[in-house]
Amino acid sequence: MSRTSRTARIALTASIASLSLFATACGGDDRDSGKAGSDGGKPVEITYWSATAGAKETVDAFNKSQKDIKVTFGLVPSGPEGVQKLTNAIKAGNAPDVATMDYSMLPEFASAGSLEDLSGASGALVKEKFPENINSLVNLGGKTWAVPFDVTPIEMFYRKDIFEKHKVAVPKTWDEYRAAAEKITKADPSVKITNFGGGDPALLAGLSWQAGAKWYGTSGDAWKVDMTDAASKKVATYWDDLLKDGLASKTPLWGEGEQKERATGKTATIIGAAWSAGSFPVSYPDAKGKWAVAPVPTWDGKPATGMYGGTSFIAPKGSDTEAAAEFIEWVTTNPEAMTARIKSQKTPSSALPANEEMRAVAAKEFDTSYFNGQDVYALAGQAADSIVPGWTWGPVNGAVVSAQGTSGADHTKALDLGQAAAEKAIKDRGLKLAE
Amino acid sequence: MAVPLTTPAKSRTPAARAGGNRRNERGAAALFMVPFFVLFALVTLAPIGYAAYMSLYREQSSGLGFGGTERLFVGLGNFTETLADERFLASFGHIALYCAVYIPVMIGAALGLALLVDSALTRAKRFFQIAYYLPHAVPGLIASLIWLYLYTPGLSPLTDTLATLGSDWNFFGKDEAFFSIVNVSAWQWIGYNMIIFYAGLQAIPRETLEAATVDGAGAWRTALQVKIPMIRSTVVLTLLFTIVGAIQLFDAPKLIQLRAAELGTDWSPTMYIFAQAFENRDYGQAAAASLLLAVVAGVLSYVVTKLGNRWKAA
Amino acid sequence: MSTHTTPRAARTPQAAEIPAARKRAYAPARGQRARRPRQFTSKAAVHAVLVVFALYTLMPLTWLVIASTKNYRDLFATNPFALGDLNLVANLQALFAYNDGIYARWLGNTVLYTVVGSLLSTLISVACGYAFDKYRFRGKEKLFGLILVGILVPATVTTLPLYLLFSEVGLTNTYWAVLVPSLVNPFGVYLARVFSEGYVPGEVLEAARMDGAGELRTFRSVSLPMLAPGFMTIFLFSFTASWNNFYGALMMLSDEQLYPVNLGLYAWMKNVYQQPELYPLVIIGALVAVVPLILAFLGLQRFWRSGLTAGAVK
Repeated sequence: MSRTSRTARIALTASIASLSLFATACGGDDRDSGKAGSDGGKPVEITYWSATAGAKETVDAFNKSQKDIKVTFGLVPSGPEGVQKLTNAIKAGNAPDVATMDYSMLPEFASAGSLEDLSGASGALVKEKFPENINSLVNLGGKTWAVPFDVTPIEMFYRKDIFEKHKVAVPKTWDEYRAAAEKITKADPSVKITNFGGGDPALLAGLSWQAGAKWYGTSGDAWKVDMTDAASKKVATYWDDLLKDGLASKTPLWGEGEQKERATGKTATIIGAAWSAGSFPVSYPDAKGKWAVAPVPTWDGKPATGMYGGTSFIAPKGSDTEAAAEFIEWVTTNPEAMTARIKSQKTPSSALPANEEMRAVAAKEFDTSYFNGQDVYALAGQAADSIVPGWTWGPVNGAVVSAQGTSGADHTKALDLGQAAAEKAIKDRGLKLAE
Repeated sequence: MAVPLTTPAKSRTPAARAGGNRRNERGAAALFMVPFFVLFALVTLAPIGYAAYMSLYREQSSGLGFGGTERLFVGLGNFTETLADERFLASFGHIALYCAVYIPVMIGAALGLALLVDSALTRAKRFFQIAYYLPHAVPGLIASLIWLYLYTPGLSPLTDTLATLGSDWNFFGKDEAFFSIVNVSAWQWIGYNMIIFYAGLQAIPRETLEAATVDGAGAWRTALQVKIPMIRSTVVLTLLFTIVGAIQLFDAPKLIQLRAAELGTDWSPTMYIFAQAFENRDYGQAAAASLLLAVVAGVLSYVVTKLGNRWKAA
Repeated sequence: MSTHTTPRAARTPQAAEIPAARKRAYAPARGQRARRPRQFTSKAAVHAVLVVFALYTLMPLTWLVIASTKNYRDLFATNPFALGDLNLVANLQALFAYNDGIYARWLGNTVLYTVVGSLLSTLISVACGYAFDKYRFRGKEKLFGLILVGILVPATVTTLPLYLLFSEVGLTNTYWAVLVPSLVNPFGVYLARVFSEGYVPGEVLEAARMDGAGELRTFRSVSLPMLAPGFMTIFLFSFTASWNNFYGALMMLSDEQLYPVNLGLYAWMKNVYQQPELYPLVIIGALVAVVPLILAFLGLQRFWRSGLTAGAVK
């Protein structure tokens, strides 16, 4: 059991890492004492909190690699509470120097004055060493607030055996995807193309992103919110129709129900992201060799995708930014960090590092036997290149996610609720709303 | 806490004998009461005062927000905004609906079971009492957690059974989730209140019941015309306390909401406060909402106590 | 109303013995032959209802026990009420091994928050209530009014204000953040005053004072032992409140090392999607937390029952 639980835990690191499940919090008074001792030749002491497996080993490797900075690691519980925990810690003035945070929460923390501006310490790094199409995620209002850790292009996982059995080609466009759904469900009514019963607004956001939507943006000193644009509506209607026509299952994302459907072969595809791959051997061990990965279908047949989840490194308010930035640079770009992280894990995660040099290391360590040797990392890398540039998250995404969560499987309604919640929350916070 | 109790006592003892009873008593009273009142001030009074202060301010950003925040005095703005927030009002509506469904079911079942266990026909009274009371020994959160799993397809015997019966009842559905919450409460509290009612029934003088039997009253008539009226005040009190408890409802809806997202994270007043503080980081409004809830809870409790006294006197 | 409480609460254990006697008293009146078959069917019906309800209250706990013996795959793959491979021991090992044995730490924290917290809280309440009863001083009833106000405002509504205050002074996310609020129990003070009136006669105190005992010694060696049943009742109230305190712990604590069991299980529960191996741990963790409570409940039944009735007439 303990062996299984360890591998399971590790294999799922990626998904944890990429789902805003990065918790961060709790008392760290070490920081102040550490700073005090920084001048007398003793190393600067900083604290770092994360919920990822392997994070501790990464820290150990960093501490061994140099003498100037000593990082104290705090394992914190993962889960959406992570956001709350970090808020608490920042509010109480005992936040760590470095923490991990979902991209979608960055503007919310940055615009509440909860983050240190990393423009000076990490701005150049972000510009030089990370893909341009995700710069807009961490650069907001002309400042750099975070350093990317992974990219999370949406991909399609599909059951080869089901597609072969019903003689359906792997869909390249959303039209083909629907046609495939019709064909499969007609042949076997118990099998649906996927489950899409709500439960994770981040996926709707990512698919809207793929279709060219920009939910948030800025214009001058005002925020723009546009969740009800034509592209998002097209996506919502598409999925609502699949559900209405009985082609997709109404089972919510992330649940035991979904687990059961997928494990019992009732699901032909899973719309996931790069990090999803690592969780397959654990979640669906009996389907080894049956699942394969493909680029997610697109609207016009040309490669394009959005992101689903994803994690960055931040320096919370009050942090020693210089030391923090140094550690962050090492963790996000030095292959040693990736090796340390992965070596401590029995099953490597499938998270796709944002930094290209790191990808090679991660890819080498990933055991692709579950996917019959398919080069999962190469595919994810290509998908990452096709991420539609320019997406920005907004300053009130927490309120939006809460509101969208209540819409159940009605995605059109989710867009309306999100739009209304965003506008209200922006005004409530005193921020300027465009128009 | 034992320490502060003993230290001053040593120096006081000789003087006390000489100084007369009155001073002695005052000193002793102070000694015994200080720990409680110091803590009471710290844990109840000070926070209410601080919340009142916090509720007058709002953290405001401007423009895009990247310039940091400033603290604005908004007077009663947070209160008017909270009172105008339909989600806040809706959370009370949910609790009202919850009471409307839960209370009749819970009181009815508890009373019915108490009468049955009290009836001459029943054997193994002890067993039934323990079996019914047992859920109350389970902490509220763990009770909710167990039920959450019992509502979960794939894990639960209930969902499988329902499915084989051809029902498509989804415990986490938009409408069904409400009943899932009610059920958790019912499971926890029916047995508890049944024991209270049963104790009340046991206290009815035997002569009264014998008189009824001699008059030819059957079990049903004795129950309806003699027993229930005799424990009327207990039933009413239970009802009132249940209402006071209901407006504090948190654990069960918070857990059920994890799987029934459509309930929203602000389904009950306490959830609303939690969401305002920790999801929206609007501490001013959370403080205002807390104070409003405190007033509602206080008034309700007061009414309950007054009514309780009236019933007791009657 | 309070004065009625004490004797009744104290009498309850004996009251449980009454039914046997009462049943006998009924028997002759019911003994007519014509009614026998009907009585038999009623009896069956009554027991059927009682048994069905017992199934309802016991089913979730039974499921918990069975589910605790299953590993992750069997949880989903086997019939929920069928035994799979017995993995109880493996699950227990995994539970206590996970994350360097964090669960054991949670248990320890829970004992601290509940047992130690409640003992202190009860001592503080009893001392205060005793002083209200036994000593005369100016403004006593006004001060007692404050206690009543404290009872009217449930702790739930002051939790967020307390969080805001503690956050300001850096007390959030410490043991104190959960422990200190649990020490304040105004209802305990109220009960203690009532119990003191009922259990500790003034003459006994006078006699002790004549013997030259100080007030503190009198309290410790004369009054406190006489108040023991009341102490137990208040302790159980406080204990129940603190083990049900999820809302407060959820707000105050972010460091896993400080969690009580319920908050820890909640945190695990929220992560089961990402870490499916936590499923069996949540389940066995719930069982391990509940078993001692159920044993305690069975062992302390007498006090529970008196506590219940005391609560009912609050």
